[in-house]
Amino acid sequence: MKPAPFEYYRPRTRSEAIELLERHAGEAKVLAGGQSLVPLMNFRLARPGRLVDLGSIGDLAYIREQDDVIRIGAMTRQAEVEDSPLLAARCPLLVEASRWIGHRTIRNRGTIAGSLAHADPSAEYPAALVALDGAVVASGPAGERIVPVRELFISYCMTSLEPMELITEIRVPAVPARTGTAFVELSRRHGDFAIIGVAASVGMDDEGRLRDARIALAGVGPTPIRCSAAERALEGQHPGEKLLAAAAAAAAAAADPGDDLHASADYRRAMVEVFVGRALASALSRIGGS
Amino acid sequence: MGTDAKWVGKSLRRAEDVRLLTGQGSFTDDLKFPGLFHAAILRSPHAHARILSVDPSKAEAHPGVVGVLTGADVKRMSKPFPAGMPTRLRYYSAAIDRVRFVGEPVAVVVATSRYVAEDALELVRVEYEPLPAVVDAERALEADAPLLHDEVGTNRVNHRILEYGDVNGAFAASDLVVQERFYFHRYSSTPIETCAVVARFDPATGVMTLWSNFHGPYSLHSFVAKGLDLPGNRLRLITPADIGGSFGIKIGITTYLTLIGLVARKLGRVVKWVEDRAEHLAALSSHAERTAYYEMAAKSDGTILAVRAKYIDNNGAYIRAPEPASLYRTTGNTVGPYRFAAVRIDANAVVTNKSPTGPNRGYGCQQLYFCMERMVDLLGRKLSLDPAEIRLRNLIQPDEFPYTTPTGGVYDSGDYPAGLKKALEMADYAGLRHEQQRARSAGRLVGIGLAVAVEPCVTNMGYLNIAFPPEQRAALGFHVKSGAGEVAVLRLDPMGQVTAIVASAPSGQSHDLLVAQVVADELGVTPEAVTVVTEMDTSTRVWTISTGNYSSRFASAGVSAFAEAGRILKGKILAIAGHRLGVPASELRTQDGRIFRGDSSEPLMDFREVAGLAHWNPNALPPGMEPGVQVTHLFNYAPAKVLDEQDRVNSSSTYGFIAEVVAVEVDRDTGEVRIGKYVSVHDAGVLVSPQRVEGQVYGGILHGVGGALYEDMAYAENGQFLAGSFMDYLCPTAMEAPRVDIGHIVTPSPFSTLGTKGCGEGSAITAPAAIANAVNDALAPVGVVLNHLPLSPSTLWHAMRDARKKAGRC
Amino acid sequence: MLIAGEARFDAEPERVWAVLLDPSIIAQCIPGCQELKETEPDRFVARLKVGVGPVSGQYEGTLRITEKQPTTRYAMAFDGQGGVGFVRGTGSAQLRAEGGGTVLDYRCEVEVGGALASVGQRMIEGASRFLVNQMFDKLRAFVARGSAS
Repeated sequence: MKPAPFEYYRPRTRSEAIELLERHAGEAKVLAGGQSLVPLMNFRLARPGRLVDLGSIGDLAYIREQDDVIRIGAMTRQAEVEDSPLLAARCPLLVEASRWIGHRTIRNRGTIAGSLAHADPSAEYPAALVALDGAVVASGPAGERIVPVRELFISYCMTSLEPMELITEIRVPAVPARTGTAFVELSRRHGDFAIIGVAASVGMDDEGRLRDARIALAGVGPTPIRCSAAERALEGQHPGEKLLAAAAAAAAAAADPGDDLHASADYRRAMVEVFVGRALASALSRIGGS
Repeated sequence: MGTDAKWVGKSLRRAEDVRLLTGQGSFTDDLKFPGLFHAAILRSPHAHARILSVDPSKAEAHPGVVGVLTGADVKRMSKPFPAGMPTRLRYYSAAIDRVRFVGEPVAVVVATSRYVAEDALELVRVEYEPLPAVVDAERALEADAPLLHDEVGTNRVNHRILEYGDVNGAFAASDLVVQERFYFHRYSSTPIETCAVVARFDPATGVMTLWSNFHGPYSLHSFVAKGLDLPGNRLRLITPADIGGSFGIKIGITTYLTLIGLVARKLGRVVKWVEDRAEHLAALSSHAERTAYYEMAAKSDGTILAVRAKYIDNNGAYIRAPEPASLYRTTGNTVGPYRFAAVRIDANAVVTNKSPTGPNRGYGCQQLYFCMERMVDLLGRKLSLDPAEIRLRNLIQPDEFPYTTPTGGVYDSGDYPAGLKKALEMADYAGLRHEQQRARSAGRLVGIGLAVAVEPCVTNMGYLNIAFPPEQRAALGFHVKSGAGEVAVLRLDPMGQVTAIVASAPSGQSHDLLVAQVVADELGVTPEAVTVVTEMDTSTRVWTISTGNYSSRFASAGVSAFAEAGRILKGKILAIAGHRLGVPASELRTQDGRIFRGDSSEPLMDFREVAGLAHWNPNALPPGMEPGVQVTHLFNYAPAKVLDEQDRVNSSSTYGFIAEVVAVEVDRDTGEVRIGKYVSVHDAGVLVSPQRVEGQVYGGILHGVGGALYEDMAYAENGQFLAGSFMDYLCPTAMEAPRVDIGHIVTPSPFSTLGTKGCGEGSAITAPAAIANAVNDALAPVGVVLNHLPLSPSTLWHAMRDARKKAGRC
Repeated sequence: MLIAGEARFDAEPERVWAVLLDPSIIAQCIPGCQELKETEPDRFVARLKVGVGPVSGQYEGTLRITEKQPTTRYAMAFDGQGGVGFVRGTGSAQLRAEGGGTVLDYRCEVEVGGALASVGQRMIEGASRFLVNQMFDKLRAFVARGSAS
């Protein structure tokens, strides 16, 4: 399991990186944490002729908040997201999602942008970002553009990024008041790819009615799936067992899973219902006072 | 057996931990060679296909490549491997004109680095003509199934019917018969170190030297020599001090010892091949899957009278020695710990388009006990007898040992009722059943499963002959086989220090520690003072066909060999000292490396003086005694006898016992299984190192948990291998490991020098059965019965849903 | 693995048929096709570099048209080998006129073998569907353009 030959570049600035991607368009791949790309290269399933390593670019790792929007630099390691006190207070869904990613050693190297650019529909950050209505900043030769994540994911491991574009920043809205979030996942072993994953966020108004529910699923389609029907079912309602069960059932109907070695499509769909129920209950229990 | 044993029985720190944990081990890949080249193997992507042509020219022309070996070379330069059964099937180390499993070697490219070699693999042009594939053994037995080996004419390559006792009479006399079908799937033990081979052929001497992590059985030395078409004394197998686990899986390396040897010979270079994990999972080895049909005849009080079983073993595309032993290794202990006296086995070895099988921790026992223990539970359920109760009613009693089973096994010692009762007590069985009642009334799916097994250790090579029918065995010139032993070499060097040389090629079982403890007790030195050499070299070590590391043999055969060698050496030391001192040797004793007379605490001589005398002044030795102080001793188990004409054979030499109680809960919504309690009681005879035994028990349990719940070497219908990496082949991690309570009972073996047995395979043979029984017990209220593994959440969820639908219809 | 579905075209079956049988158009629609050359009637050699996301492979192989019933049915068999393994299978298309346009029912049996099958299981089915959809999107564009050669 040795990779095919490749040329390796380690630019020191963003513009240098973008220039390399443009020059070698189609042949170059970005290397962030390498936790998805390098194994694919070692299996020779991926054979980029050129690797552009972002590791030496100094200003790509940060977590800061500005006007209720949290900005996370592309090269921020998953472990840094997991450990961030700012995120624990202002976007706990990302922190909770982080804990399900592989094992700590993987998170020490893997990056949040890498996970999004890789776009594996079973991964945690894509589903979390979809639930949060986040966005990425894509930087390319023509400049920067903001891509809402609902336009980012196209299919299995495919994004709308151009070959010479780089994700430089991730943006998520800070969690509003009176909102609870939860990320739950079913996997065969601790740290495995999700059989199904659920990112949920739900708020409550002063009359105790649910508002602004978000439910996104991982592992049950070619991209993360937003369960709009389930969200609409919850909107403006008082929470209750029947309501949550109906939302969970609606979410399961939105799922489009396949069969594989580890779980059947029927099982995945049934588990969506179970875990959306659990995620909503958990999110509800975390709605703090105003 | 040592009442004055100072070291045997103690848990000492292992000497090898520091070097292993700080990266200073000596593994095969660490060995350095000048002028070394690296091999990569081109493997078939097809499960079954004709090879129309192989063109290596583009690969040979690639910069950095020194040469390519193809199937044509393999055919020209080697012979088919010898088979352990009558057959026309031909197995070579690479595919010649047909590929028969995904991953089968087709060519070998050698280059300046593994990277370059892999680059060049894709330049070898192979034209295939795909053929239909078959992966299911029962399907392979059908008349219109694809045929793997034209020269054999059938996919059933070995078939024996073995009948013992009055089976028909027992069935006629029974009150009820339980019938069931079982499927035991294919999985491995995934040693952390994969295979590695370095090959050098010296044309001047005709000697092929192969450095590798092969560890025996050294009966396979001849297997490789014949494959390489070399006389035995021209094949040198060297193994370094450290092997990173094997559990029998590395026995499949024989294919690669041959293949890499051939490529080194063809190219005239020293060639190294390190197996990567993808190759290891797809193409090295795993145990044979078994489809089994069982019938158990019993009385209404639960007494088992007889068992009829049909084993259909899926051995993959070729039968590679020691297969088809998966069918026969357990012959002597077929009845397990039970007293029934009649059994009939219809044993079938079937080839399919999967990778060839071999030994895997348990080697036939995990399949045997899964079926047997499920049958006992099913019988108990039919009779409304508690699973503990029905087992207690059928166990061989402690006053019946040595016990001869109907199939010829001679169980040396045991107290099975005590073992089972201890496990029940440790588990608080009554308490567990009580908790189960409460959980059930709350709608929770809680189950308790038991498994009891006789653990066979130290395989008697005689059992191999059972693959041949009696008429063939009686013919002149037939290679009769028997025996189970080990070699011990023990020496005092000229400075009087002790060295023990072990030929067992350990793979992490601390043979060196065990030997040091045993030798320390016999000679009266400390274990730290004993240097143990574990590197193996077939040219310089003394060994025989049973030598090696397999079938849980070191604690009994190896330890017995060193205990006896120690006694013999001590005898020599005291004879030399007595002669020198003019005192009868019988009045002398050793302690702390010195020699004393009777009860006196005044040392008269020490080992350095004895050795100095023996090495430097041999004339001063007792008349007739050789210079130096050493002993080479071969220990052999007398009960390991030849197979008789009725196919009865004592297939192992010592027999341990395992009793396990497992409590699980199945999540109604997700089908996930959580192990709440795991109790494991072992009788491994006298324990040399209790801590080592605990390590073996934990490891065996985890392997069994893996097989029961997670691991599956899955193939698609078309023969594509689906579990090609650890992403899909799921080994349980520390997070999945259950908490385990381990207990021991000791019934010393009368056949081992110190009363030791073995425990290396251990719970790998019982955990799948115990967990399956527990899950079935948990799901009994919802009408689910499962007789296959792994019990994945998706599988259990589907089973529960199907049962609900079925219940809805009635 | 079975990939089956329905593709709709805003043109009559005759025009869709003409596009389907034009190798120069097909070569532009097959994802990653670098070369498609007719060596004998109804027999082609092809070179592809195809993949999904970071995973891609270079394949060389043959394509044979096994059935041709003008404007109604078309079937073919393909066989490709590459570094990561092989891809082979059969495909058929059934065309019928409907509401001024054409409905094409397709059915593709694909077998993937080698490293891709043993390690890439999770992605194969979904990725294959994506590629087939991509191909029909391109075909639709050609049909819409009215270019039949």
